[in-house]
Amino acid sequence: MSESIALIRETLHAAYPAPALLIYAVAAIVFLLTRRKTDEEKVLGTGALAVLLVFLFPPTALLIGQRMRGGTVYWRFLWLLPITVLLAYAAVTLITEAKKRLLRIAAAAVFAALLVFGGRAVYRSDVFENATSRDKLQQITMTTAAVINQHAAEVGNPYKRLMAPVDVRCEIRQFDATILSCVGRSFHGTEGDDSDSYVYFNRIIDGISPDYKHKIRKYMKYYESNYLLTRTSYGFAADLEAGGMEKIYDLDGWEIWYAPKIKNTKHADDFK
Amino acid sequence: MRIFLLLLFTILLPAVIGYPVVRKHADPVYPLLHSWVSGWILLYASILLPAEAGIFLPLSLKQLVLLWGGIIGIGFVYAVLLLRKDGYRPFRDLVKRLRETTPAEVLAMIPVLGHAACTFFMMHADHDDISYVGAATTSVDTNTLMRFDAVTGNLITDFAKNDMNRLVTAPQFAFYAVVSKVTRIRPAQLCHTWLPPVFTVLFFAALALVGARLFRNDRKKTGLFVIAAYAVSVFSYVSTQTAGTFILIRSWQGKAQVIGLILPMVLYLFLQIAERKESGAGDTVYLTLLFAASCLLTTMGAALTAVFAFVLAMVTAAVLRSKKVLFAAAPAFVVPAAAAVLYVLL
Repeated sequence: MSESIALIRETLHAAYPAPALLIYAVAAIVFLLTRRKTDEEKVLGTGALAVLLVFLFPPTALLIGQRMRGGTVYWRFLWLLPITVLLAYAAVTLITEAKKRLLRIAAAAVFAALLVFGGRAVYRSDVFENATSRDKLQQITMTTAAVINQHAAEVGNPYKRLMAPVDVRCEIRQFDATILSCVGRSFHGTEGDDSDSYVYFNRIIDGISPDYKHKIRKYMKYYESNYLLTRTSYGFAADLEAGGMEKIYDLDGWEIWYAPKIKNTKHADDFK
Repeated sequence: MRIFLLLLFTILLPAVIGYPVVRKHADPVYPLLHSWVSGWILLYASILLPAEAGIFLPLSLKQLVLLWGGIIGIGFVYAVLLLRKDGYRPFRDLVKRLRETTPAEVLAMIPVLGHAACTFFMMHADHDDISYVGAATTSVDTNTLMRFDAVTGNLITDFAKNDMNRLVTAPQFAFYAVVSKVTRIRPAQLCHTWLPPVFTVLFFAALALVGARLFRNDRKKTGLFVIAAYAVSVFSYVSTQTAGTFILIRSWQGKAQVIGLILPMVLYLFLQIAERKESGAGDTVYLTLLFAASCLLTTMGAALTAVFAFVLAMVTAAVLRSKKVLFAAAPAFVVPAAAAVLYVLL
């Protein structure tokens, strides 16, 4: 029981760290239930209340949060609470039913103020940025794909498996699925145990970990990645060259390396 | 030509094939909008079984295009015949309804179209797209369906052990792959540039329909409702997990489609039933389509939509004091039940 309550509390805090919108939704539900003018209002108000009660009911949290996909997705249940409809309907009803024009304007202003001070606008630079292409992917992703394809054609090797920082790794196969990638969404360490975590792996690829020098080639060999995208600022060019790798691209702070000795053995039959 | 095909696919096709679904209980205020929104639900619902067949048989992407194209083609012809029988009423009435547009509805279009333009010209990156978009690109580039892992490109030998197995139970990628194949627009461009403006209008069209029912055909209040709903969505960015955030910034992802299209239309269905004070086979069919569409869009879609529909069915039955609502809704729950079985088996 305490686990379920903790899950509910964590979910509410994660989804609505600023709880104003939730409070407004509860107020809208109360407003609808006290009015109950039409059957449609009754359906909306009672339905929303029922959804909220089901969400807050500890056995529901236990069932959905722990027995099914896990506590990490219980916040999706809050999508069933029609907050947008509740708030919009309550606001428009209150505004349009005000008798005097001045009251209607005041009601609209209060609604706007409640949103501005209780919510957070989505139009921010960390949410939207100017697109540089119709694919809406990073330029380095598309450049990497072009460089790899050209190089593969030149050396006559159709096998192209890339190891790259996570941002590019998540984009490369959205752009060009003929380029393979090193890891999936689950991660298995090279030692065959859990000593290498996904976070550690990404720190290696991003050049943050000092273990980069001896780990990167080990990872490339294990995952049979014959192409590596890395940053010039990591300063590992000498080590990569010493490991028999060739630099095939060097521009704008990025480098692409090719490992000619790495072959496709584990997935050689995949495309037959 | 590609853009023309895309416009046909996203606007004309759903508007026509949605007609048979809504014919009997078309929205009295926005019948064409109702038809268009329902057409999108039908597109998603109708590709679920062919996509699953394509994954398990397996079929190539090209074969899926032909199979589903045939199904949609038959549906399109049937819809055109019905429209002809009814004198193309929704399209004929469009001009008259446009003349009756209120200033509030015109004002409502401004922020909606503004955000549609924002989704076209601006970008928002999300790692989850390796699943949705990556799987579609993998299908297009290999002419297969779930044969190769979307993230690594390796051959999938066992669905149960694959990290992408949730795409088997929720194959939305197949829809994007088919549209990409037909229009020859790459999946990344389709999902990130060309479809988000359509989805923005689609989501707020669904909200407009809900508003029209709540305000009982008052078009002015419906227009104000859409403006208010847009404002609430814009200021929902208190976290990346809120419904308002999802529909504005990640509209092409299955989760956003469930939030922006499916759940509002489930609410719309029960509001309509509450207004009509009766329910019947048409509602069963519509709810079945909503469940099927939600199963396609996201793994949790089946569960979430089922819970929402169950709650609303119980509430509506209590409000109307009629068990008929429950009898009408019950058969549709076979779809999420089947989805749950498939999920457990995998």
